[in-house]
Amino acid sequence: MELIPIPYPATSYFVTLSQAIVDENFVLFVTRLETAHSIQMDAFSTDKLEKIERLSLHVTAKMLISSLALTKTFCHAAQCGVIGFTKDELFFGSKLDIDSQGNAQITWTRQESLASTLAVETVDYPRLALVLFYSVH
Amino acid sequence: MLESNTKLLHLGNFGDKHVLSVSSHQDHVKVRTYLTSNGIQSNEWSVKLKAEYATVFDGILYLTDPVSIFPTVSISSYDLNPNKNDEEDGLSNEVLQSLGTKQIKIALDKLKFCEAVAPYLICTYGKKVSIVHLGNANVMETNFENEVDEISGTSSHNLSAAAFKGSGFVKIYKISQKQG
Repeated sequence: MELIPIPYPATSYFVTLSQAIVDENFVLFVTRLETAHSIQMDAFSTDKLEKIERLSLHVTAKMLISSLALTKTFCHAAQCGVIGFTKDELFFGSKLDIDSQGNAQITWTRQESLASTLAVETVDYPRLALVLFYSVH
Repeated sequence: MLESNTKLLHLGNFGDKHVLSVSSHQDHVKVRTYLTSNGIQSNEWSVKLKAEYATVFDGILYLTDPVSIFPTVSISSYDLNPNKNDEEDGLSNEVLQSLGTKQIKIALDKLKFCEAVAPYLICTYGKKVSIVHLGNANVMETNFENEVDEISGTSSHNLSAAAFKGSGFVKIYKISQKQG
């Protein structure tokens, strides 16, 4: 067994990992809070562990976000977004919009307070997103 | 809906049409499947076992208990696809087939927390991290420069990866079986 480092710039923020299938290939997304209103999603190939610039996103969020504890990445037609859960145990759904200049913007919505979110599954995004969520009692 | 005295251990897609949940109860573990189309429960199995973590990989359910018998980790595995010919993605009403239980010792002085990143269980105390491969029971120990406070993991058939955060560092690794 071995640990192979994935190159990532120094950060003081916790990063969350998720994967999504883009063009029939798995892509690793490393997501971190950058400011209280912005999120950086860096995409890496799962074979060579190289950064994929075209899938990496700097996302501006309208709502104040204190942290990220768990993320689920979704992709549709090579457009990727993120659903995040904060450490203060509130969860947020998102709908990703990319304008004609290529700027990504997420609308975060506080939905419900949960004891602790364990997992989220997205089904048939973008028609139906954030369908299943469970908490640890 | 889960009862209030239960703890959800795992939730994930199972085949194209189902979601699988694993929950621990007082003296047993329940494995349930739900149809993603309407959320209706489609199957349920019960296993008399104590488990703190559950992961699914390659159609095998791994139930682990690193807490009550520390520093030994108990790994019990079950075949989730005994009937591949079933029309509903291999689900059947048969009893869950046990593939056996292994006891693995990890080299931690105490246990801070564990994180299941299929097919691995990652446990930490202080600067030290133990990674157990749930399938072949291999163990890897590694040390970080400072205490590990948080772990985030992801796994698919292509990649198992984990991010470790401690005071002054964030490191991300692909976890791999050495070839040969």
